[in-house]
Amino acid sequence: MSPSNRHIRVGDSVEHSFTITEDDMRLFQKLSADYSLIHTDSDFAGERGFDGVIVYGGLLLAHLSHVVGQHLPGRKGTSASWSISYRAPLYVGETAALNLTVTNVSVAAGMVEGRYKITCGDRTIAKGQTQSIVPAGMIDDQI
Amino acid sequence: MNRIGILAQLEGLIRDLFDEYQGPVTEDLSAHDVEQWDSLGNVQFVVLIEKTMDVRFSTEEMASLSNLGELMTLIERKKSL
Repeated sequence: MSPSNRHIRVGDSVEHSFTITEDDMRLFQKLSADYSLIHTDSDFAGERGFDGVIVYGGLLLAHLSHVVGQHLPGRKGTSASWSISYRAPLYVGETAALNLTVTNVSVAAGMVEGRYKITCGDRTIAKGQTQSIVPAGMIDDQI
Repeated sequence: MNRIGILAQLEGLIRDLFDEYQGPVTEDLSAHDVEQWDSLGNVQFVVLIEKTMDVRFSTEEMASLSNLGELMTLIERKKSL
C-alpha cells in the first residue's frame, strides 16, 4: 500500500502495473536518440533470438521514477541512488508489474531504502535497489 | 568491539565510499578534510554505519559530531548499552 498518509516504515510496499506501447517506444527513441536495432528492428531482434524488439530499459526506469516520485516515498522525496539489473526482455504490448518494498530506513540520515522487482507473468524482467532522501518526520523507525 | 576495531571498520567504509581520499583516517578526520564527504556523502555514510555496525542514531546525535573520534565515542556508547 502507499504510505502517503502516514510515516514510512520497513515493509511498506507499492505495486504499479504498466504496458509499454509503440507510441511509448517512439517517444523514448526520440527523447534518448537511442536507435539501437534491438529496440527498433524486429528482424534484427529475431536474429538475436528474441520474440520482437525489446522495450527500452529507460522506459522501465521511467516507471520506477513514477513509483518513487508518486508513491514511495512520494513527492517529497529526493532520489539518491538507483540500481537496475536486467534479467529478461519485456516486449511491446506486454503488461508488467513493478513492486517496490522498503527494506531500510534511517531517521538520522533521512534515508529510505528499497528493493524493487519488475515482473511480467512469471518472468523477472528487472530488479534493483533505490535510495531516497526524505524530509524529517516522514520516517517511522519502529521496525 | 574496542576503539581500534571501530576505527578500522569506519576506515573501511570511508575508503569505499570516499574512494578519492588518499589521506590518513584518524580520530581527527572530519568532513572538511574529504572533498567527497558532502551532504549526500554524509547521508550515505550514516546509512552505511547503521547497517554495517548495527547501530541507530538520531538526527540530533549526528548533528552534534565534529570529527571521527566523537563518532567513535558515540558508537562505543551505543554498543555498550
